[in-house]
Amino acid sequence: LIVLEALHAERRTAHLLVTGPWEDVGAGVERLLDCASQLGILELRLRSADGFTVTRRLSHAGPCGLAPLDQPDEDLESPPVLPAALEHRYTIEAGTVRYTAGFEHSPAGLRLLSPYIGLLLATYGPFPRRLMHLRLAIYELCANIIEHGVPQASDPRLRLEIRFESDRIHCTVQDQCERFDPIAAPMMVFTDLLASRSPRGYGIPLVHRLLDSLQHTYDGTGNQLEFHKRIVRRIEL
Amino acid sequence: VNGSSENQHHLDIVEGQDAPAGTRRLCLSGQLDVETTPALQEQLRRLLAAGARRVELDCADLRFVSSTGIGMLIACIGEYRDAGSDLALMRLRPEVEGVLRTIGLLEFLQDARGML
Repeated sequence: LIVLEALHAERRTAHLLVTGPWEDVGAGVERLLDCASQLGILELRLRSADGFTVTRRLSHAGPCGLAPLDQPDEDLESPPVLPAALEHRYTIEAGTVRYTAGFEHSPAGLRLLSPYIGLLLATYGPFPRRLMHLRLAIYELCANIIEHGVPQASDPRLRLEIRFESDRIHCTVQDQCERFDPIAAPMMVFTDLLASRSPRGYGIPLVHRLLDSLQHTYDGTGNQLEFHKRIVRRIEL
Repeated sequence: VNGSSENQHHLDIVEGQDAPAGTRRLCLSGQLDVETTPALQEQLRRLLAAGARRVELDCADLRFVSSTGIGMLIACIGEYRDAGSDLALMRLRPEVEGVLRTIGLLEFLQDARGML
């Protein structure tokens, strides 16, 4: 198990704690690097529970067009890689890792959500297809809220919680919007959408296909979407 | 062609130099989402307007496609077909291909002209 402990926007560094056997980390590191590069992270530090540390520096500029690594850090142009508004937290309770992230209810908040989720999910293990499904579902649900939700707060935010359980990943997305239930909206079927060459309308039907559960609740201050995806390790491996 | 400085990450679109005669190839790297889809759509429409007969999207480095990207691809594929041209997706990563297969897009393409 690898836990993403910290993301340092200014230093473009991610710190990860390896809580399982050190020798099992290798296979996942390349995927971690891949996701980290999408966030513009230039350095990954993996630390084992007994204090052993490995640092991997990314040797490419990455999609953010960052400066090459042979330049000293102080010479790097330094737009924040992660918005300061991205509040990243994690806890481990009884072997369950729980991440929470808060971010702006805006396209800017959404912009880095996908690679951030990618980085979190990459810590879970080599299950690219199912993890991609979950990553896409989270993105689609948050994009739907940002596009269609009507905020009730002056500085509205979204809150994402991801909980890694033994056979599934459980997620919650909370907004501060008026009642908005994406599940209740009428859905077209894919074949009709394809036949009509529709450029829109795929998001929520796609989410239903990708997830194993999806529920909506509203408490008067905001909406909550709760969903999970089963991860069957043996079959996926 | 890279994204603008205001939208500098997510999707790089580079025209490949090794495409067969009569084919234009765009190599995509990054993710096709709400923000990056319009740039690709604009480029695909520009190529079609310029008379392209076949455009291939090399998706080997395309790591993420959202429903907005999927919808745009479907609409553009329709526009290419109407004009008697082809728009093909090549070298999809397995995780992306799995998503497109989930909604039946790959079968939709294969039914048409064996574009994959």
